[in-house]
Formats: sequence, C-alpha cells, structure tokens
Amino acid sequence: MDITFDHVSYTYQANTPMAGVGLDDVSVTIHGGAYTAIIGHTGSGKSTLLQHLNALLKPTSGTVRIGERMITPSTSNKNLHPLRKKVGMVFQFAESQLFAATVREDVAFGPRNFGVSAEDADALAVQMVARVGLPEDVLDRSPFDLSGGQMRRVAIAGVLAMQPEVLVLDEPTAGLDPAGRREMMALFAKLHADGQTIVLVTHQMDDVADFADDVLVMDQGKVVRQGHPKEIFQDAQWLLDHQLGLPRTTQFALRLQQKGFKFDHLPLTTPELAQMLAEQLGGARHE
Amino acid sequence: MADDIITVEHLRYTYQDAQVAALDDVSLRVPRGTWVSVIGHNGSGKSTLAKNILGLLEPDAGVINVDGMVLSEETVWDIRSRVGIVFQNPENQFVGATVADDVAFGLENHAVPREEMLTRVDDALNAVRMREFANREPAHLSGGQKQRVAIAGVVAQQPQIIILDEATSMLDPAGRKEILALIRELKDRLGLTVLSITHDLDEAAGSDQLIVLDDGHVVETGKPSQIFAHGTSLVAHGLDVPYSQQLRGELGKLGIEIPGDYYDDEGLVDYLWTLRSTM
Repeated sequence: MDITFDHVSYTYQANTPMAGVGLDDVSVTIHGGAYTAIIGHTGSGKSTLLQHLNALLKPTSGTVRIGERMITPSTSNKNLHPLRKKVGMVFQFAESQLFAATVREDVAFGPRNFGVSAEDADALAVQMVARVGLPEDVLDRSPFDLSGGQMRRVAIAGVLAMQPEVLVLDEPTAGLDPAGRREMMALFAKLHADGQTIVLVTHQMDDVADFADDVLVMDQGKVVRQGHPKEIFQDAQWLLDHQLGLPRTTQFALRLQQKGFKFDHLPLTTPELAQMLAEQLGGARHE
Repeated sequence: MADDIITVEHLRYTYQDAQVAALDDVSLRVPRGTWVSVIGHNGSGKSTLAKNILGLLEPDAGVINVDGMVLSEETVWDIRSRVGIVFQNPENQFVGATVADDVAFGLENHAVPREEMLTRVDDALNAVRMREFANREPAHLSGGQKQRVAIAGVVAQQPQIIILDEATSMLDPAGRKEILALIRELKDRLGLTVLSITHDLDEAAGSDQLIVLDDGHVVETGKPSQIFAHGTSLVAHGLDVPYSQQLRGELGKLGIEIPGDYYDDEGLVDYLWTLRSTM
C-alpha cells in the first residue's frame, strides 16, 4: 500500500492570529514494502507529516491518498476507523500508553476494538508477543512489572496485533541503552524482511544508513530531499547546514578528507570505510 | 582520602523481594572537582547507586562518605543539600507554574530567605541562559530547555556535587551536546564535582574517570582511554564500542593492524594520515 501526498499543506490553528505552518506544499510518495526514514530537526514538520499518514490530521489543502482511500480537507471524520488499522503508529515512549492488567489483555485490546473475537484477539496477542522477541511467560504478567525496554516491546506488539500494512515508528529507540537499541533495530529489520512497510522517524543517522532504503528530509514544513541514504549523505555539508547529523562513518571520512585523504564517494558504514582505506593503505604493509 | 568528595566502600543493596543484590560489594572514589562517569546497561545498578549516595535507599552493608560526612540518618539532609541531581525525564520533575517558580521550589524547601532566593533564582536562570523564560510555563518548552531549567533548579541550591542520572538520554543530538557543554562550563566556573550516570559513550569520553558497572558489580575503573582500549569487553557489558575502536577492528580484518592501546577519533585520523604519508 502506497501513501501519496499531493500538494499537501497544513496550517495549525488556521484562520486565527496564532496560525502556523505545519506542512507546506508537500508532494511525496511513501512506497509499500519500503523502509522509509524521515529526518529533520525538531520543528521541521516530521510529526505533522506522520499524523497525516493515518488521517489523525487532514490537509488544509491538497490530498493524501492512503491505499485506495483519498483524504481531502473536506473528508468527514466518520469512517476513518479502517485507516487507523491499516497504518499502525508507535509513538515516542509508547510504553507510557500501556494500561491493562496483563500483557495479554493490553496487546489484544486493539484487535478487540476493531471487532476481532476474543479468541482470535488472544491468539494474535500470543503471536505478536513472540514476534517482538518477548518470552511467552510475560503474557500473564502485568506490563508494569517489566523493564522499560520490554514495556516498549509490549506496546509495539499491541500495534502489530492490528496487523497494519504500514508500521510508523516515532523515535522508537529513544531512552534505550545500546544493547536495547541494537535489539530493537534488529526487530524492525526482521519485520521489514518479512514484508512489513516501515516508516521511521529518527535522529540516529547510523540507523538511517544501516536500515533505510528511502529517506525524506524535512525542513520548515517541506520535504526538501528524497532519496537513498547513499545519495542523501553524499551532500554532507548541505545536511550540516540544515542542522542534521551524519552517520559516524561519514563524519569520520570527512575528517580524513580534510586531512588529505581522497574518496570518490563518502562511505556510510564502517566496513565500507575500512575497505576504502585498505585500498589506499594496502601498500604500506609491503614496504 | 582528604581529596575524595565521595567514597563508597563495600556497598551492598538488595531490593525488597529480589533474589539477587542490585549492588554487590561496590567500592569507588570520586576526587573533588573531577567528572566521573558510571556507565552500564539499563538494570546494571547505576541508578540504584545514585539513590544510595543520596540516602534515598538504605544499603544492606557498606559505608558512604560525602564531603567528609558518613551517610547516616543524622547527616542525610546535610548531604542532600550538597548534592543536586538532574534526572532523565524533565517532565517528571516540574512542579512550578512558571519557570522561575520551579527553580525556586528547592530553595523554599531549604527555607532560604526570600530576598536571597530571588537573587539565586535569577543567577541560576542566567547561568543556563533561560532568564527570558522566567515567567513562561515549563510545559511549553523544548526538551533541551526543560533540562536547562532542571539544571537551574540544581544550580540555585549551590551544591558541591551534581549527579546526572541519564540527564541527556531523552534529548536530540543537538540538545545533548548543548546540555553537556553547559554542565562542563558550570562545573569549571563553580568548581563542582560531576558524577554522571550514562550509557552514552560520547558523554563518558570527556570524563576524568570511568566506572563500568554490570550486574551490580564494578567491573572496570580507569581513564576513558584505558577502558576504551579493550572495546569488546564493553559490548559484553551491554555497551557500545567507541567508533575509532570499531574502525580499527574492521581495518584489522583487512590486514591493517594498528599498534597501541587506544586512539580517539582525532588520534586515529592522524595515525592513518601518517601511515598514508609514509607510503
């Protein structure tokens, strides 16, 4: 399922003196099956764009097509329900939204709300808890007795239980420790490998370089660039000018370049940089 | 030792109903005026350690000494007045209706006279460059601004020691850099001691001393360069390996062995350039 923005603008508190631009003439397609990263500094419009992906916000002008469904400024708020099932949102610090007495009930709550029978919802809960890498014995425990990282997994299982076609992740690794972050990113990579469409909002450029196959760069409510991470991170100075970071490897390669090394393109990953260096330094060993 | 502002000796702490001690035979020293980082994965015992030092938790065994006082029921309030703590999530620590009220809250609790309080709040907000926000509602600030207000609240109490409990882990990269630079500036200007609890190696890299905790034990202590030199053991403790060490590992796989213990980014750039120049 593709999500296509066609000349979408969104104004906060329109027709008041407080009016502010959230999105400004955005035309972009998020492709079904892709792993799309959205980057941009705080206030660039990332969250506003996210909220259009399942019609939590409707455009002030322009249209958003979510699969077969067209959202326009005049779309009624009725019948948006099915969209919320198709596009699953994992918000920042998603664990703060857990509420049920057991993990099982919490994860089954979403599907129950969409009319799935108690029995099927429970089966989904069991399946999704396993999919996010939690042991089966957490099912009947209180989510509040789990560690922070485990609680976040439960929240993600709850979204997956609605079997969304698109999984939207807003800073899903914020606050996790390094091991927790690695495990979480491995989980999303596995979901993507199994066919899940993923939209990731992040400040972690290493994750963009390692996992995304499409990147949207936002600035002042506009999508200012779209492309593969390899293309986006080539223009390092432009990203730095837009207050965006670079993958660690790209930063390091830039420092080497300033020193005098020559690269025909900037590398994104450590093995890639090591290979490029080995080609330039290989002779040193034979002296 | 006279110069250690915090000493912990053979500290053990077990949470109620827990089978295993959260901290077991932990000993450490924090020299006055230094920046010491305690690093470890979530659940390694870092925050439990901070809570024991503040007397928020009562140890099963061991002795804690802060600024020359042995921690006990008699000294706990005196000790707390010398230690300020900045927590991970600024949302959870706001109580005031305005930024200035919030900074004043701690002082009211310590019965500071009003005139002095006004001066201290103003100075503290000035120090964190948030003076123009004094009458704003904390709820409308960005994450980095909120954390600056929380730091102002600590600075206003004029502590000897600041404990950072993952104080930058919820901020974006720019906000994180800004807060660390601010704390460093305050530390140097006010002669503070910083005890930072973190799993961010970039933050830890600037410390005078690192203490690695895992499963409630101190597993390594040393300067960042010493600890980072054996990078793979950090992964075993649930942490990251500094980038320069990762790259060395990859180069090693391709037959380029780099001698020596540890290079930071700059050191490694220089080394590689020298290597290339001698070809």
